[in-house]
Amino acid sequence: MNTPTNRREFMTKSLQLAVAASLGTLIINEQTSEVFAVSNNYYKKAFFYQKLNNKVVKCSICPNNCVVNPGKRGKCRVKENINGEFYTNVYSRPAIIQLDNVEKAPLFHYKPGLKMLSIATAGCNLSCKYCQNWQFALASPEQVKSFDLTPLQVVQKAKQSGCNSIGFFYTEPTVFYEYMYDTAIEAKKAGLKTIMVTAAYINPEPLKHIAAYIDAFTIGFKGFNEQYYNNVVGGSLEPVKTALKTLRGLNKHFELVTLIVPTLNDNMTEFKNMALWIKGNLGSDVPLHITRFVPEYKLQNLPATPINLMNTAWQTAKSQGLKYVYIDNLPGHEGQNTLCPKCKRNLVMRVGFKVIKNDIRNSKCPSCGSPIKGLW
Amino acid sequence: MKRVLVLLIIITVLFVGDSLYAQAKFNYNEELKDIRKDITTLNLLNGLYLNKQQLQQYLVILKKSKASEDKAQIDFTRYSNAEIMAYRKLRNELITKNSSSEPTAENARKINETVKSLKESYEAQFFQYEQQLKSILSQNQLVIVSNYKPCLIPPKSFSDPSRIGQANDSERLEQILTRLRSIPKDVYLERRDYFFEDHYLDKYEKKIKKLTPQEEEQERKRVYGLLDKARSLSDVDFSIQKKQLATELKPKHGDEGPLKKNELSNLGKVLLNPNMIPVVEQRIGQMK
Repeated sequence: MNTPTNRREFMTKSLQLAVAASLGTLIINEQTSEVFAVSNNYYKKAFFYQKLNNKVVKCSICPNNCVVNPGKRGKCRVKENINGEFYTNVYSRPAIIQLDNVEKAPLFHYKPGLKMLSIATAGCNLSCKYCQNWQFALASPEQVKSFDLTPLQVVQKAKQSGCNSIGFFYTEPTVFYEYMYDTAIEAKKAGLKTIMVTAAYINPEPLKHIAAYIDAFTIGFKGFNEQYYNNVVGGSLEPVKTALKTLRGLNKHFELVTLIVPTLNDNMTEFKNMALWIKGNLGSDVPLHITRFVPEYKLQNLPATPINLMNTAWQTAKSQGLKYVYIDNLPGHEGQNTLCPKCKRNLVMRVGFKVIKNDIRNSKCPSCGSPIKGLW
Repeated sequence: MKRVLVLLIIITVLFVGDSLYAQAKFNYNEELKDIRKDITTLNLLNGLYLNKQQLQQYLVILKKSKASEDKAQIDFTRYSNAEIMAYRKLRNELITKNSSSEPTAENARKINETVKSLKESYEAQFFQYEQQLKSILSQNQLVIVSNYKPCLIPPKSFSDPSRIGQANDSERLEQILTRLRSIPKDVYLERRDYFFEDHYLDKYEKKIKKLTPQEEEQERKRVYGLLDKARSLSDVDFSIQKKQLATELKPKHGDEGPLKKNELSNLGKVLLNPNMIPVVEQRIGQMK
């Protein structure tokens, strides 16, 4: 700590320390030992960043690789440079807490009917023009009403609510990485499953680091066109492909979800190529969910995805050899059911997010004995 | 003479005008009933996403159903005059003679049985059409239909996509609970009463049954308990529990028991709507 040179400075510094101590958070510059006080407990040192000259930091959690000046925030709005150190400002600060079924993620091949306590904070590292949760994702934490819930409290609430899992869902959990990480560790200690619903816009090292504590992933594989990723999603395609291959290498359960947006990513040749890429790089047994777009946020001028286009996409993906292809957002459609890839028996019937029947036994089709990918 | 004529004209106009008004009102009510029924059907139909083959099969059933309806209309009209005359005679005898003669009673009985038999025959026909409808829908679609509760203008909601064409189960109530949490206690106590009397009780008695004073008191206690609980929860706990609380706040339907013989379920009641014929024809035409 800088030694005060006079009585006034001494009194000022003492008062600062007293206020900071009462509010619970002190940030100490490790090099100069200078102390900064922040007014709440939402700040915690960030993971995965490098210090550059002039107190500038470079975040390396996601491919945005934001270079952040002192006093500024990264693109995600929830990482902040405070005097040359990088902090998350949404630690223990969820904006969404609710109960869901795992099917809502969507995860169809992972413990059907599993009850999940979902949490999310403000912020996102992308800016999808069709975002359904834009009021939270594309806002700063100060702009949304938040709750106070430490990682341990999240786990306690999950257990109190009869949940066997915790979902990091609704907004991009990559941006609240530190909170997710600590919560996942607590969840594992308590015997709960953890589910990450993400756009996979994350660098390989952080992905490997968090994957150790995540049981299942739902990945938004938003399109197969760099321009689409740039213009509509606000990101880039290649890092997502890299993340998917990384996840495959880690042998983790994951399912993919693609939103078909009319006029923007509804090219069936492209979709066919995407299905081929999935089969070649991730495996034909990775479940793919095709979701229908409904007008939202900045794309309210577009129509909902026509049903015949959804059916075409569904058939296209299946014809390229993907074994488990689903249609979401069309309740009543047979594309919500799980069929045996060999004998085509209807094994799991779903309507919306509800499982109506599940005939899978010991992870196999009871008719022909074929193994059915997933954790049942 | 002139005055008498004017008076006659006025009386005629009043009489005819009143009849016309009654007729117009009747027509308006019938038309309104029809439109509302069509909206109910369309909300369900639009959410089922029937493919071309299903639509074609549905059209065949609709046309058969319409033909039966038209024939039923003719048959019942034919018998209605005979019914009126038979029952009128029966009534007159009961008024003037305190009892009915055997021929009159026998005649009324015969007419009654004929009409009843006709009604049962048509019910059986429509029941068959419903079974045919069932056979063209997938299991998934049948689940949706069985849970379908009509709503004129369903709000957009992603929280449960299987509740097509209808309001989300609990969203509205969740909003009410959220508002009740934010108001001062004295205002809340007023609102609590209002909620029970005007929102809950009203709905309960319209949709389920009229409550006895003891039952009403019991329900009041239950509802107040839930509202008080919603207010007492922390923000976190409310966020987690609000859906469950809202679901518990909905009036509970008792078990309706099995359907009577040939009674139509939701499927037949909603989808056997002959007004859908031109709609379905148009949609088939638009499909490749």
